[in-house]
Amino acid sequence: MRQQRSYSTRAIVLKRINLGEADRIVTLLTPTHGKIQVVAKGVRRPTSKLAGHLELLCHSQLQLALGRDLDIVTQAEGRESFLDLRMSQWHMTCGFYLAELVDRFLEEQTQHSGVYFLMLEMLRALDADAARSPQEESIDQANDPLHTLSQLLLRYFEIHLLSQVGYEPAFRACAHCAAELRPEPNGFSPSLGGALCPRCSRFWSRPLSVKALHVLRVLQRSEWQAVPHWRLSASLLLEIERVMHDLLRFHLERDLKTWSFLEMLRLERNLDSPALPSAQNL
Amino acid sequence: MSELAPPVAALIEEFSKLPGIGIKTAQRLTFYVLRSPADQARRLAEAILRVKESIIYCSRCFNITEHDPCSICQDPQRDRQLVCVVEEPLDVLALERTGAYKGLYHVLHGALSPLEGIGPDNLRIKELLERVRHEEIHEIVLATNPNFEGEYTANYLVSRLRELKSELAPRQLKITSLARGLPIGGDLEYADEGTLRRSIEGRLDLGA
Repeated sequence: MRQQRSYSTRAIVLKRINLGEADRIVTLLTPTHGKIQVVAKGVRRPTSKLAGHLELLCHSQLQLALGRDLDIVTQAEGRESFLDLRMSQWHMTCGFYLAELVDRFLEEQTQHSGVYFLMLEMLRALDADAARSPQEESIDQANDPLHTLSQLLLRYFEIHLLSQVGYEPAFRACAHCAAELRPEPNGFSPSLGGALCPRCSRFWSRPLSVKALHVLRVLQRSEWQAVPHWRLSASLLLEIERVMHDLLRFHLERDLKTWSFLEMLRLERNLDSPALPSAQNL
Repeated sequence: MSELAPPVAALIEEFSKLPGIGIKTAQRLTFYVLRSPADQARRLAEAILRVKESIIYCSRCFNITEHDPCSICQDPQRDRQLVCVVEEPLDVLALERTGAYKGLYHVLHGALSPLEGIGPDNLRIKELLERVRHEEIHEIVLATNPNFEGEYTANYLVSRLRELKSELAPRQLKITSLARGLPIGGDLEYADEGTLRRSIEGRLDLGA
């Protein structure tokens, strides 16, 4: 039987590199082919029919023709372009971060439909969050100066991405002696892959507070829709972020480029944000 | 390549270092140069040298130029209260071709890109903010590319310029961007959601 010359797939655009005069190599996340690189011809010209549907983080339906090295995009139709996300610097940076994480963790041509659906769910949630935050920075700051929901979303994505690729962090039992963790100051070790009980404190690389462990556990075991809309303190958010970043750094053996951008935006915000009232007991 | 005379081999190697030029194209170019008249080859060599030796960045707008400040910054006919921010020197050329823009420029030399690790310090953003502080600028036109990185850069600039506004009072600073819409010669049915949405928002009154 003759091999099919083209195929159709849905895809999220993760990365784009310019190629030649007006072409681009586009890295896609697809439900059936995993992460793939394809060539989009002529997309840097203003009249390109493909360009708008192959923007970063767009979710599109694509027709791809088999190429010698890389497949070639022949048709593209956008399904979701997450336009609200693109109105906010913070949410755009979060989007960049999701794309960088997926690009770093996934090997090409390996099916990861779980990651695809996770990424899609997170992009929709980010877009909705961006739509809720008014464009005027000042109003935004009054409502949620720390972007708590989107920060939790990043942590949720990190935890579930790690699970999908086989590095599920241990937050229920001690990662060393397997004793059940109790509501007391525990510790954390990225190389052992999770939280550690006080008896294994010689392996701690950092302490882990009761509140932080609680938040991490809820994020790990819940569907995103069921994650409570907490108001967390800046220090607690930072603690959870440090724990997750330690873990990611251990697995990737490097820092992610987007981290410095998220940090930059946070510093700008924290400078003039007042102390937070805690709406919920956490 | 051992059969080739060393000067020929050297030229092939140099050509093949250029972007988009493989070894076969490099060989074709080399043999073209070999067969072309001597003064044509000399003009090519001189043009390459001149570009490296005489081209500098304008200390004001960071466009490429032979003289500092560049001819646009020096032109007394230009509107000095209007500054258009672009990513690359080639964007200046594209805008100049329209003949519709009469203000000055500021070239960033790239766009912010978290995925490639290009941050504000890698671009001429600090210099732009300094210009806004010290020059009598009344309007900034953001003309970064209409893609994700370009919009990201524009968003960043808007937040920095907004911070600056209080410092500038009583001088007013207007921040604008190039319109987003349908390309001339395009097909409406192929337009993406983002472009169409912006086109509808920015629809024109035809005054009928």
